[in-house]
Amino acid sequence: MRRYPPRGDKPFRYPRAQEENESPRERRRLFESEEPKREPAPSKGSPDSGYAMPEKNASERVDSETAGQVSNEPESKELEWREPERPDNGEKTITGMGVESTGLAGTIELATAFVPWQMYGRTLDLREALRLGTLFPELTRTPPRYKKPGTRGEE
Amino acid sequence: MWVYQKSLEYPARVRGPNPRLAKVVITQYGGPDGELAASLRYLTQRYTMPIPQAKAALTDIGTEELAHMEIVATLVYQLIRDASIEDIKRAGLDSYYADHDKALYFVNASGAPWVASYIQSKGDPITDIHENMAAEEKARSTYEYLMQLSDDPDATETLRFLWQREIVHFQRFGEVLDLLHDYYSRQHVFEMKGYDPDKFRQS
Amino acid sequence: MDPRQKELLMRIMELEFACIDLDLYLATHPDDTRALQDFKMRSQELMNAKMEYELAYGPLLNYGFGTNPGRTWQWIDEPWPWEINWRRSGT
Repeated sequence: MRRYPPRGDKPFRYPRAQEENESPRERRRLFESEEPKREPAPSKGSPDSGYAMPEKNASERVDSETAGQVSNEPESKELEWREPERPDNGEKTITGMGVESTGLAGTIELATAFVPWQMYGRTLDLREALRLGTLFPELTRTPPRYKKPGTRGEE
Repeated sequence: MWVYQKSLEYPARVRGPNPRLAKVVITQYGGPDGELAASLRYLTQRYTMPIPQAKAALTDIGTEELAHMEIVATLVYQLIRDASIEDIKRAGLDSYYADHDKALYFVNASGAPWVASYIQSKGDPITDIHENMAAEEKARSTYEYLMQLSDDPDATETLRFLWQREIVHFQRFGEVLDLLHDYYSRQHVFEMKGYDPDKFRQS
Repeated sequence: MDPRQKELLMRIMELEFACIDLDLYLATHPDDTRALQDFKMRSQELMNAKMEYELAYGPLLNYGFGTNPGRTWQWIDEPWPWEINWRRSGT
């Protein structure tokens, strides 16, 4: 199924994931709590390898509820990727101008670049649009007259 | 395929011969952050994009960059077309003239020819879109420097148009990036071993 | 270049630029009905303007995508885009 961005003709509401039962991240979290935790494979590679779980964390993850199932798992010789533990603060939303703008992915995550979505609004007169270089007034900027790195167009 | 249309995207104009300005503007023709690099970068990254919006955006922006290449070429051509040899020597464009006369060639402002290592096509869609966002910012900065260097108000207007386009393209790539994050966050759920989302919903 | 041709070409460039910017917007917002509506309207206007231009001054597009209404092969007619002087006082 193809998924497209929110419709421009409806009142805008980011993130779109909320329109469904649960966000992908919520689903993932629920799933993780249901599934038996697997014992990380003994690290054959470099101890610094990002794919090997540090032993301290591994022992924390194996809690009493799932410990029995874990022992039944055949030990894999392959290094296995495990989702790193992370604090549950990923569901914050940014709000500006009364619009939730957290992007389609649903949340703002650390170490992830994010550009706010443009919404369709007023468009410029065609002659003016060609002169300025865009049809959308909200994207127009004034070029800096003097060198001022990092100002993104403001004088 | 591509079709050529016999018109510019923007009515590029210059006030008169100005080989000194041509010497620096040409970097947006064949320089590291120029329009040739931009176009080829986007058009070659299209093939490994996983979502239709990314393929469309790269195709459309890559094609627009070809049009920008033509605008920059027009500027350079019109700035040196009627320049005298004396002007060319005074502007320091004589070394270019020795190799290319007044023809257009893909070089940066100091005369180094275009190389493919200006661009990257990494195969990781998130990485590639970041590369493109950085490329748009680099081109924007270059146009700002060129506007500072320009003493031709008509050429400056054209440079301003191209400058603004970089900002619009940055916005589009930012939206593509978000669509990719969305795509992968969904993908991740469905690819997990032994997890059937439908069964999970019913329980 | 005769002023009427220039004026018509300018009109085409304006319409086309609007279509380009809308096209890019629609690439990431394909479900945006307002943008789609504007795009359809502008591209129709653009189509009409191009037809009018080609009827008078020859094809804008190569490879048979444009129309060549004249008795000679008008595709080669000058000026080419980079030769046009767009200065307001120019020719």
